[in-house]
Amino acid sequence: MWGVAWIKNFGRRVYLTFKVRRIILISVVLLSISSPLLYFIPSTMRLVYAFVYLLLVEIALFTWVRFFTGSVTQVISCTFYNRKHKPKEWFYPKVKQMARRIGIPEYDKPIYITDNPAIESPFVNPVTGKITMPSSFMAKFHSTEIDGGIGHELAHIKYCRRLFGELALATLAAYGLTLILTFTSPTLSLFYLIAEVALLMLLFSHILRQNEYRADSGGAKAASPEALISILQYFKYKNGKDEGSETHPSLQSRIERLLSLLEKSHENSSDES
Amino acid sequence: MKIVDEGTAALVMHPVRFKILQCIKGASEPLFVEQIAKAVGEHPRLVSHHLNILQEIGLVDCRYQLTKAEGSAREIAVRLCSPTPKLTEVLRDIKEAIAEVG
Repeated sequence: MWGVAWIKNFGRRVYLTFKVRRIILISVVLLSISSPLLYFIPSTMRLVYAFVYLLLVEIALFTWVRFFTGSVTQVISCTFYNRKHKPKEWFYPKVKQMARRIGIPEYDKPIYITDNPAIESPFVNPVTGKITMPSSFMAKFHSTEIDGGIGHELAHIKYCRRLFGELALATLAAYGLTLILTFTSPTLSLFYLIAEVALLMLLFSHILRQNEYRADSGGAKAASPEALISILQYFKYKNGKDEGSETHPSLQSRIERLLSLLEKSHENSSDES
Repeated sequence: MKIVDEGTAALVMHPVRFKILQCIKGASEPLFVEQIAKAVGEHPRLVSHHLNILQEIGLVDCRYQLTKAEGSAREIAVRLCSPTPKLTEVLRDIKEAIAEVG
């Protein structure tokens, strides 16, 4: 057990912000791609290169494994919780209307209300279109704000195909690049394989974050930008730390984008009047 | 506790709503949306959104009044907001609840 505790404490001590994690990944990609230079540098420099490279790869691997295991653990714990305490179905009449507003003509699924204390905000399974909302979220916010949360999740369903398309394209692009590089110098294929994985992580992260912005603007269209801003402001205040993650941009940047949407619609309404 | 049971406390415990309430309560006369927005540093439409909620739960009283806009000859309708007696009650209850926990 002491081993698990040590790893947990170590993880807490070496916490890296998202920006640093991204810089490390970019460095891994650049160092991997520039590996042919190894043939032209002196042996002492090669040692330095190997040391820095391995260190960066290990840090990247460690932080990503931690992020990945954290996400998987949450999904598994939610699944187990849902088996014991079945979420209640809530047939909310406004959902259909909101879905139609953002271009999902036939959405007639209920919202699933869960009492799981580990979940703070609503989420969606974009494949099945099942929206789950924690009861604690419903208790904290006004009905208009709950609409904003549902609108955001509905937008995720709408942009689901686009998201998967973009992820597939990114995978193909990273694979294609690795293939070309491997053909040029096959002996360095291990470097290129690492570059491929790191590049994929970067691209996936970028796509997922852009998808979140899209869902925000979709949610603003389905409900109102004010409702979404209000939710984000609450979580920004509550969490304190706001740096974003591999899948979500920082709350402040999302609020700023929604505020610019609000500003535009404010100007349009002023022009009309 | 009544305010917790009826859900008012949860709605008031929003950082922006709380700032708006403090601003309205601290003012000597009814304030309009633009004034509140300036005071709390938020967009006027966002302030309107929060005022709608606060009005619905009975913490703020809003009425419209025609007033002359600066640099313009025509009159515009502004939404004037003032605190209700329930607001004082709720803020007192929250203070007591915090003191109990603390």
